[in-house]
Amino acid sequence: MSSANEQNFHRSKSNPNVIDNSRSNQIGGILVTFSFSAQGINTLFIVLLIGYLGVFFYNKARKGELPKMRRIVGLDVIAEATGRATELGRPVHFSPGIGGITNDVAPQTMAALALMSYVANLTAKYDTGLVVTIRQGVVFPLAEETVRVSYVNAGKADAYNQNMVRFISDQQFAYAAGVMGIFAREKIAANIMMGAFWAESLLLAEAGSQVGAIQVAGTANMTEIPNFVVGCDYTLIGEELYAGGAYLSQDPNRLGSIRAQDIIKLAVVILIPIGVILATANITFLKTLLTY
Amino acid sequence: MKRQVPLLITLLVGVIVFLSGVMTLKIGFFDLKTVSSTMTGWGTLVSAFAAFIAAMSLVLVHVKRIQAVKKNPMAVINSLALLISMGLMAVLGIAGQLTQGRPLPLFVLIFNNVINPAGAAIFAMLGFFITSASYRAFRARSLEATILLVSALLIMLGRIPVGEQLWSQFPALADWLSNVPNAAAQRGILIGAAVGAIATSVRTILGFERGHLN
Repeated sequence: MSSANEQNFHRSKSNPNVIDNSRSNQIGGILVTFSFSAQGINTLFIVLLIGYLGVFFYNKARKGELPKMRRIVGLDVIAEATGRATELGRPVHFSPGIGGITNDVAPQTMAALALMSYVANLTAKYDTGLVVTIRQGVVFPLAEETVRVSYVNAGKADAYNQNMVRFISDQQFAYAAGVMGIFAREKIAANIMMGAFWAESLLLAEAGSQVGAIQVAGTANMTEIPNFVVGCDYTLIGEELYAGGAYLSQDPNRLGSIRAQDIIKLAVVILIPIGVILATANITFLKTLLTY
Repeated sequence: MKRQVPLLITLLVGVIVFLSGVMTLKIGFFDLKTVSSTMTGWGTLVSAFAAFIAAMSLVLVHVKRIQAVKKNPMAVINSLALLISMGLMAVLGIAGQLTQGRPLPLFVLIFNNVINPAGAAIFAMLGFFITSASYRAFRARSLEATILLVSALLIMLGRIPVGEQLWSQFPALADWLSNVPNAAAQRGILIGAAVGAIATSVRTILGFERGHLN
């Protein structure tokens, strides 16, 4: 900025994707500089749209207009798996993934924690053993508190045991080895793995299969979905993981958000063929609009 | 208060960090990006304390197992090994940072010759586990399972030299399967997962997602 009240609209030399529309103004003697990055406008629009639609459909859901969700078998079977573990007198294992809550897979971990609450509630009700294994230290206090409060809410506060939630290791394969050891020693009957997983996913799935556990897994990591599909009995693919909390709780908040997601996805589905046709005809206005 | 304070902190920090990623805002000495990076630093500090709590929990669990030696004598060996190695690496790591500002040679030696090979060994088991998982999964029990079996067979034949010897078009067919239907399906899942992640993040920031707070 060479002077106050100057307005520049040109592509930044260092990064051509950034339109330098920075504007500086002197307000009461204080210099105020404000600019948007090119991708930021699209990001802000999408986030505001999802937020608005989420609140809109949340209000509708609160008035009783609950959106219908298709049956997700992997979620329905969690209660059955817990029941089976109760009959066999063997514990349920839950893993909220090996991702943390401060990186790009945080939404998967948050979704997994919501499902953990549901599973802990079930194990509290059925008096089934529960083992929650944690890889990321930052997730450990959250997981511990989630399980403890679930037991309190189920009226089984005295059944909660601090040993239920175990931090294994923050090393990926040390975690996998530790969990495989738990499967073999404690003969788990149900293995529920939800969240962000990587290469250890198949190790855990096979270890669970070897002890005869019924296995339900869910992840949004593309590379691990095939591992879970072949290694587990039921798999939640991608967005089904995020819908899990809404599906099981029927909470209007979450259901409204799921409806908002579906609207956005519908818009994307409609835009794709339109974009293909326009691009084939060498008409670029849509591409320019979406990449501004 | 127990729920409101964390929700308020989540809202404030979430909005600031998000906005710093999409815009630049400077008002006098206030710079949104600086505030955002400071808050991210605080997050790192909180994560470190949480990791300490997790490590302490691990120590307590294994100390209790050692105390219950009569109940399960064999478990004591594993618990002792864990506690001794954990303590040793912690001492070496802290000593190195305090004295030299970098890891001690012994720390590096143990890390490179014990921890890394052990992790690599566990990783190597994947090869055998993929085989056993494939043996169980690739069976023509239903239409979908048959499609999975045929696709896997075509991909495998396309990737190995013997496949090309059997029919010269196997590699091209495998490439087409990977690049067209597989890529299309992956992109569809990716779009759904990305929108789901945004929605979950927006719900968490606005306080609608409270599964972790109960």
